[in-house]
Amino acid sequence: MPDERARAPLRPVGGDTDPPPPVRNPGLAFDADRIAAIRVNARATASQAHTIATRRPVAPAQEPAWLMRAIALTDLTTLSGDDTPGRVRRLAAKARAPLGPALTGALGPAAEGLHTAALCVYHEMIPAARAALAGSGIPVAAVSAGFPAGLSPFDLRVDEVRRSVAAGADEIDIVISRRHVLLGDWAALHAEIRAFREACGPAHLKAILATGELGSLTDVARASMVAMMAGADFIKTSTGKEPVNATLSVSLTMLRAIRAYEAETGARVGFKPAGGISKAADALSWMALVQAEAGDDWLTPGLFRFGASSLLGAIEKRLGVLVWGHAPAPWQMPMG
Amino acid sequence: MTGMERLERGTHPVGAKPAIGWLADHAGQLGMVTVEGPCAGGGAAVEIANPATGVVLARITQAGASDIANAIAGARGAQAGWAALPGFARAGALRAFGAALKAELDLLAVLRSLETGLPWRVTRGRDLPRALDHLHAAARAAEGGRAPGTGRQALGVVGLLSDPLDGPEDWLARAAPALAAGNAAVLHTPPGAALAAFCVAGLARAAGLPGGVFCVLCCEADALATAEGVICPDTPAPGPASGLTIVHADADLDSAVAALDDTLWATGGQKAADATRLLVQEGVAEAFHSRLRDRMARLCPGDPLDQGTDLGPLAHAGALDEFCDVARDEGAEVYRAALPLPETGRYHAPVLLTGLAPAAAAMQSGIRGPVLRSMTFRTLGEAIALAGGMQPARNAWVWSECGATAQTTALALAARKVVVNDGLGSIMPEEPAAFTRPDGMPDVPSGPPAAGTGDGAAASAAARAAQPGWAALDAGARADRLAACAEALAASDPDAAARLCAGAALATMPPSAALLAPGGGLALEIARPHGVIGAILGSDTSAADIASLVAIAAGCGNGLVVSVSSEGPQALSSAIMRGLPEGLVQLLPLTPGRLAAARGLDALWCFCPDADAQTRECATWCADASALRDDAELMRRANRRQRLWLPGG
Repeated sequence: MPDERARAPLRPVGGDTDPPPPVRNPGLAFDADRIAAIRVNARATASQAHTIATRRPVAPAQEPAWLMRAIALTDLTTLSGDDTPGRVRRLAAKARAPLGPALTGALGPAAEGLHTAALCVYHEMIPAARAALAGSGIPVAAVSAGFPAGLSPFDLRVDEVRRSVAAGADEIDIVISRRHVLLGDWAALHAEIRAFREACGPAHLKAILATGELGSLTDVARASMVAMMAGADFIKTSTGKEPVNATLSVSLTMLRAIRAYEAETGARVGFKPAGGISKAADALSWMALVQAEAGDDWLTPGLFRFGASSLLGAIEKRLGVLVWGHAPAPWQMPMG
Repeated sequence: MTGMERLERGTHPVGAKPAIGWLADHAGQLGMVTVEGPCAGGGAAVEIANPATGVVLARITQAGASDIANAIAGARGAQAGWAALPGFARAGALRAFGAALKAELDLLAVLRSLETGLPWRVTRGRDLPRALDHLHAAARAAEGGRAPGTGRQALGVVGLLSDPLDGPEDWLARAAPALAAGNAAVLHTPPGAALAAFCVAGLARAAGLPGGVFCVLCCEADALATAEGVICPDTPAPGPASGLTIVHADADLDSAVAALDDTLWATGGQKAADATRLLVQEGVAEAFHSRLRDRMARLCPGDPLDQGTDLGPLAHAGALDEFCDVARDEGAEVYRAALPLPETGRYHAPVLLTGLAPAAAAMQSGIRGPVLRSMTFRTLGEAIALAGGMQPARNAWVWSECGATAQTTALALAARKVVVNDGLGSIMPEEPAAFTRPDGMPDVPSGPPAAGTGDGAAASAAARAAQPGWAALDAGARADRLAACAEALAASDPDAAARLCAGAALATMPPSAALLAPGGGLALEIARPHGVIGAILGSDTSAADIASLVAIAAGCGNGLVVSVSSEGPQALSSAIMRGLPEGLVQLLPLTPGRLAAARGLDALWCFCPDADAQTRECATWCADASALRDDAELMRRANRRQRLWLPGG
């Protein structure tokens, strides 16, 4: 059903009242000087990221609304060697109805129709995911391009993207070649991501920078800018397989790059922190950072995603505490 | 689930009840704390109102002359016993004080926010923990035997003057080391910052600090500064002084913009050190200003007692709108952030003035408020020149990702504290030694030298012309030149020659220090020459004593104008004239008054017992001739301290 996807490549949430999907990032020609001028001070960024993420806490009365939004922003993810169609179907059911009936009932109308932003799987699991999500409006995201190391032959990586799109993926999470960043070959990085973007066609491209392997925040900012110039619709921190995953400093750096890119081009690029975000409080910190640095528009699935596998369960527990005063019993939290 | 509406954070009010209770408990007795006996109330009564609501919080009776005299007498009575305690006992008392402060941080923060309008996030989250750090640092110094040190003693009763809006984090930075050194401290506070100060003084007393050792007076600053029996060391220079941020083209612009949250907007630009002036390199100026405007428009004004508030009301109504109008007439572009300001209270939206020229009145003015005045520069050299042409900044912030650029900029600034690529930086407490003097030396330091004209003017101008080149020399090269003078002098006055040599050698080891902070940060305390020092000597001062003075003052890189008796030390004088750059050091038969009135001195030392009161008043250091035989003390005085914070990462 590729035609259907071309009309609505990225569906945000819910019914007809949703705003139209954002215009895609057209990208820019590569500009080496623009990249070279970028500087990030690691220490100042780290302390500011912590301050910004914690300085305006969410009032308890508002917290359920924030946590439900966090669910609506989550790319529910399974990226394991032992994934099977059955496992993916189970996860898809969780994506359609993330909270059990008891919790949904207790949270009232706000929780009705709540679902995750997407389901994120490996290429081989795309058909199973599509079948399980049919009619739900929840897009399927596939990791691609030699995930997670990105060191398979370039033509095979481009072909993998193409085949994932053909198999029915609405969104493609590619990994970049870290060596282009580490060796300062920004033009090569631009060309690589550009090729992936072209291979994506109507599917949205998320560029995984694998920031834990890039060495410095200045390089994170430069890689972010190059990825956006190359037409990435989202920039994403990590594969979840690096030694260090999403951190607040890295997130602040990428959000600032997104704002600078918007100021220059008017194009809005999404942000996806992934890996290591597993507590409800973490989700609120990241959302606070995004709201403060990028603005309210970024707290929508069109511009922000959590890449997470265990976050959803933690949010369910926290919601239980908020509405009942205690965590839900295991049988009240359907397994994903 | 319907569409994605905006997520609201909700409000987070901080309970004001304990603070209101404290105010009720102390109603009618505010005005003087820690000195026995009621306040005589010689001064005027003032009402303290909450800037956010206008509600009167308290009525304070300002201290009159008799109250001040009582306080000083009480402090004097307590000081001897306090100074006689072993260092660890004073440290113990300071730690108990710290524990009491820590237990009441919430109360103090609310009091501060109520009386000043500063957001709770600033008072509780940032400022008061720093106040506590100062107390702990002073306690450690006393424990480590660094206070007061061998051969030194406390000054006595120290008067500390504070600026409007100064809080415990500002005055404890001086009071804590003064107490650690064995002084009694009498703190002046303006009415607008008095409630928290009284509360802290009460805590100090309750924690067992001997009565009278630390005392807070709400009075006029002058009334305390001129009172009998109190020493006001390190008095802040009068007049407008505001912080300066310098942003180079290779800076992390986003971080530099965000740092202004802490260094300017958090306190509404109302404190003396706030970074209300900005120099930004022309090539990135537009990018920087547009990020800045964007961030200003995202600040949250509101109730100071809400945890989410960034901007509180201003403590004092200033003529900010008129000021901006004047700036606009001078050609400035005025950006005023369109923020939803509360209707009651003295709220003012943050303002950015760009396109100002150095000559603009708006740039020269020391107005306080959330108004950032920006100029551009083209090169590193121009940035330094522009900064040098402004009213010296008390604190400065330098942003550059290039170490050499940052270092060159920082060292060219006159600011007492320079922070590189960071917001407030670590605390840099005064050493307790700053509040001590050598045993047996009377010490009556006073304010900065007054401007004026006189015969000394030409001499000081000549010294000023010669000084920068001299200070730029390597310390060893300066010592070699002085040693050559000594050689020429050796035949005629071997005593003076020996002292000249010894002083010059000592001056090659200035008292600079470096401290490694967690995270790889470096806190540097750098001894820098003052510039030109004037020295007034008694007529019987020996040539050898003068030789020490010259060797150390000039050896540290200063120019020197010395008033000597008319016959003077001829041999020393001619040796110096021949051996040192022309005009750098001048020994002249000036009357003390004339030298004191000379324009352009950076420090004035008086060693003359016969000098009149007016001269002593102008002097930055008064001592007797025995000070000239204390090389260590001369070394300490011959340098000013600049603090440099270089964060790691």
